[in-house]
Amino acid sequence: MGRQKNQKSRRVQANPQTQASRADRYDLYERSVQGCDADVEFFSETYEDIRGRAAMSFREDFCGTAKLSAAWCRSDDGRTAVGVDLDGPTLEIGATRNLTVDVADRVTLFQQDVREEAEIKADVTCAMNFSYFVFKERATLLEYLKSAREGLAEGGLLFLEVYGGQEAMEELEEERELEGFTYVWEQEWFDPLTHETLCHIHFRFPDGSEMKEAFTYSWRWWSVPELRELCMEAGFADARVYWETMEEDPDDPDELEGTGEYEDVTETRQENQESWLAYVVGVK
Amino acid sequence: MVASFQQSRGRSALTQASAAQIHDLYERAVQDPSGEVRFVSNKFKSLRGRHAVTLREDFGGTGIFSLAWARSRRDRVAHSVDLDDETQAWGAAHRVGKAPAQVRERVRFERANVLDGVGGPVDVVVAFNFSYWIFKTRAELRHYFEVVHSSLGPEGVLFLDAFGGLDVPQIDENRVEHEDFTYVWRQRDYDVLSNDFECAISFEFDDGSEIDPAFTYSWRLWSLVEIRELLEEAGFSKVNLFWERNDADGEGTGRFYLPKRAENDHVWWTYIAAER
Repeated sequence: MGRQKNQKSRRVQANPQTQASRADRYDLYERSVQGCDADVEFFSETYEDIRGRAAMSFREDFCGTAKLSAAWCRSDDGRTAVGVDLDGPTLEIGATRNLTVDVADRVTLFQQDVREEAEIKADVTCAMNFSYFVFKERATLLEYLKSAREGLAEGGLLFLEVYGGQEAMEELEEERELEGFTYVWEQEWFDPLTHETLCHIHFRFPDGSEMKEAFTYSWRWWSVPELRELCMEAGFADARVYWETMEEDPDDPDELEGTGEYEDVTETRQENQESWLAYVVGVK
Repeated sequence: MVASFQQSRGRSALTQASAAQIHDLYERAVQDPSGEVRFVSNKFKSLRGRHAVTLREDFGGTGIFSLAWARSRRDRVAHSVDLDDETQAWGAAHRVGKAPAQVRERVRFERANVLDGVGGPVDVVVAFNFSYWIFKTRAELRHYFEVVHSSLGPEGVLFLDAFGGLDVPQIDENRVEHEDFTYVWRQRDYDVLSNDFECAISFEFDDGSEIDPAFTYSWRLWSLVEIRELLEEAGFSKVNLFWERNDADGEGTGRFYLPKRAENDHVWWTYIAAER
């Protein structure tokens, strides 16, 4: 999830012997919600489909620990990346964790507002994990999209990850078992008047301990048509939609689950689902 | 009320469907003009500290809201605006025309586009039954709101309704039994990429006959926050989003208030009052 977390830091239980107290929340986060190699592959293929050449420069807005920027550079020796985030300590942790020698000199991290100019013009810019939902006013999001467009090279693409469906608009707590811990996504509330929502990530451990509110997000949920309209207002030549394809859940034939693959659905009608993931892609 | 409708063809002259009048069925199934006049009157009075007198009913159809408005106080006048001749003619003949002269002379049908902003300046404009959702782009809906804004008097208020909820953005069907017919609401198509929303009303009868569809709607499903933003862009100084108060069992009470925050529901209906 987006890393412009608010100031509520993690609340670890007092007992220093618990698994929660020993865990590293950035490590847990990366293992829970990030799939960097698949993301890099999707951005690369989409850019190549549209432009007929390879994307080389990359900008990761709300980059947090910049794991994706590192993966981008690792995918090709000629690739460079810029990561932008407001949170200094998170960037420092990211530099230590993820900027290994093979990529360290090709990733530049900026501690600044994503609406400010960064050094490079990127072929691909992304705002992953819905981080841009921190912009709750139309004018503010528009300002971000304009500056994101400005920061793209000629022909560049902006990838905005978006979620939705019935489950996006209600109180919810969802658990996913991972190796050594349980990832918990909580939507504490969703307001139909404003589309504002308050969400948390918690981590729970086999010894019963919990890292509660490891990350907290105060967002406005933006719909696909709103995002497409805003992209066009920001000056993008097109705003395409890539939708995650679904397949039958092997454990439950009545359920569908996401494949992690995205297809261009600009030309087709798409029904609502209980829960979906997509990208709105601004084409410069 | 709707601007267009289709009545099914080839009905036998002997069926209940063929004997029914769709405007009458529509009115009984979805309209509550005296309740809505009461709501608008009370909210206007609490916002402005006086009674509202002049009204324009956009997408007015058969004009029964305007009629209820004229009935509610002796000084009230109403303009009912719609593009559809047949619907207005039915309303004039079967509803307004049957009211006492001192009421009906204060109701005027205007066969016009709501974008013409006729009849202003008025205290109140209403656009109910989600009819303004025919405007599918921000530019079109903002333009409509601008027209309304400029045709309101200085203390004027625009009242809109809206619905939504977890079960709304999808294909769905709801049936409500009435004494002599069944009202069927169909959400026939919904596109999450554009919020295009295709709906229809049908009526079914005990003898197996039906009017399907009686009314069709091609809308954009607008969210409250989008509507608020567009009203503000169109120049309205304050936008009030109401919410229905539930009783202890979670059932709607028909009473609306201004909440700080609301909780989503499977389906909700509510009102918006935009102050000029």
